[in-house]
Amino acid sequence: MRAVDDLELIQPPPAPSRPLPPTEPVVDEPMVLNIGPHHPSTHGVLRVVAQLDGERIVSATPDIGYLHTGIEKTFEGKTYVKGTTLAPRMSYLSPIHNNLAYVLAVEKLLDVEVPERATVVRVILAELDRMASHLVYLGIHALDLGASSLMLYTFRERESILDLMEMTGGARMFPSYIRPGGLAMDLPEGFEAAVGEILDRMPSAIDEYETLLTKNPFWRERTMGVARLSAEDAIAFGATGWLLRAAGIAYDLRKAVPYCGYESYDFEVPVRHEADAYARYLVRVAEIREAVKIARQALSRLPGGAWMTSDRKVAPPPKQELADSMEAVIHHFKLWTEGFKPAPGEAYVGVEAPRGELGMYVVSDGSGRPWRVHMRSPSFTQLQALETMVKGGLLADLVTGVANLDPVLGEVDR
Amino acid sequence: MSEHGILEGLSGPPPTPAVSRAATADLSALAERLGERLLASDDGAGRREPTGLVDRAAIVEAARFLKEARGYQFLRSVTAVDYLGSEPRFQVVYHFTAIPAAALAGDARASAADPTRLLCLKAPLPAEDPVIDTLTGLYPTANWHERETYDLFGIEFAGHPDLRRILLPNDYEGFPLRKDHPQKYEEIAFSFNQDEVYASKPFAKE
Repeated sequence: MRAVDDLELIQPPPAPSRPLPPTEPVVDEPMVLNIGPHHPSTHGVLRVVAQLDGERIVSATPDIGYLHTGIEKTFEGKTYVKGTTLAPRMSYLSPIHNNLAYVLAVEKLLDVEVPERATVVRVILAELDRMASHLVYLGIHALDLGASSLMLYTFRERESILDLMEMTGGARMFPSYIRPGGLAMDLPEGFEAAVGEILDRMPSAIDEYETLLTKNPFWRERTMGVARLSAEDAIAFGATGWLLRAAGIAYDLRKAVPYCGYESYDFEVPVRHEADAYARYLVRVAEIREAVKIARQALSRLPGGAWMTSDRKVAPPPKQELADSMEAVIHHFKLWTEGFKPAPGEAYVGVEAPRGELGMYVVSDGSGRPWRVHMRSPSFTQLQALETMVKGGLLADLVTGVANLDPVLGEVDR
Repeated sequence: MSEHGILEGLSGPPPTPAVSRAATADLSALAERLGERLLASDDGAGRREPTGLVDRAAIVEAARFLKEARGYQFLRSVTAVDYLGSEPRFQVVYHFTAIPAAALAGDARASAADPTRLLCLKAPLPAEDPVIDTLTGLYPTANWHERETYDLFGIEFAGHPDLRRILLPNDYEGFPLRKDHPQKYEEIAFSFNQDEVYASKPFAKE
């Protein structure tokens, strides 16, 4: 224990006798502040050039392109099957949906029928992907606003879901398991039980997250009435997904333009009308619950049988045929050297990815490689709305705005 | 894991969106409106969204008609394709959605009477003069989509409020998604050849 006298010794030294510099005249123009590209709350490498009047945001202009890899050009040099591996790398939080959208577009070009088992497995994986992506959103959004504990819980469940992805294709993040014509291989033993176990666990886990946030006064203070985007603005900026649904528009591609047989599943599209950050949070939590419902229905109807189309111009022949069928060897050789060749044409397929409409536009010139692949990524389109969402608000609300848009910069910059 | 699965029968539905046909009437209405300036049209035969090939001078009128008279309030995507070797070389591709009134009112259930309608418009552009009018006045979302198309294809959108590069650096030369853009690798300099390699880099010109 130190004596009181010691404390006096560590007092700050007396101020120097130099005169203070003259105070700057008050400048009546906004201050420009660069937020990012290296800032934890910009979710990667997003730079926002904000003009501030005190704490108020006058304008916020996103500057993007730091992660541009020219992935659309890369596609043009790969065969269609190799594109399956490339497409998920655009979005590292919802890779299955990228995989799925690309494969659906290629299948539309090929006009190939997909076995029921493959379609149902795709639905299970897509909904697991939606859960995993929403869990990242929840954890990171709370972390951005200073509530760091939630992330530990959401990442616990997300990690279990990524384990399932690893079971399917061997990789946690990018299994590339969905292939044109079906799946890369059949599901491993024990997959259904493992999915069932996670689906049983999810509802109580979601309740747990909600106890931390839904009625939390700090959370409400930071999100209610913040980052509003009206329904008209959302449509004008091309926003989809939960941005529309939190503004009262029940537009969900799984209902509006069904793919993978979504029209035969029983689920609700959660809608709120407040159009603020809190409403979007509630919509996303409800979407996780709906995803559990859909995945459970898909699991209960999962049929046996084929997981890949029998069309030999698309799917490789089974290994045992290679030993005694010359034709199978030729098909195999042609598929792995030139790849399959869809008829000239084009296809645009939109899927309801966790962030909104993910569109894949694929143009074929009749060769084994796509002539053009374009991705309409929801993150890119919706980032335009950032300024409208945060203008006039406090600087701290910009963090809420970015966390709410939940951009994946790999998808924005491509 | 067995290999037998692929030998067995098929039962799945083909990936055909049944809603595609709903927009055919809109395409006929557009044909009536534009007359000669709708260069070609394809109803998609229920497989794809109906597609119209529009003269570039009529693109704003076509989009305005779709938005104001036929309810296509949502612009999904704007992009372009480079058909190098054929003339006209470029095509700008627009995808539109008409969100049904029920969904706008908060009801997600799909109804057969008022389904979601999808439509595609394309505008051919010649190689020597790839310019088309902007749609930003009608659809603010076109802003970034058109900037991206300009950035990667060099297609100019006349009347765009802020037409500059968006993904690539401002001093980038060329338009990489054009088919005649070289796909070259960045040469790595070593100490024995660094003078030679650095001389060929863009910064050597300064």
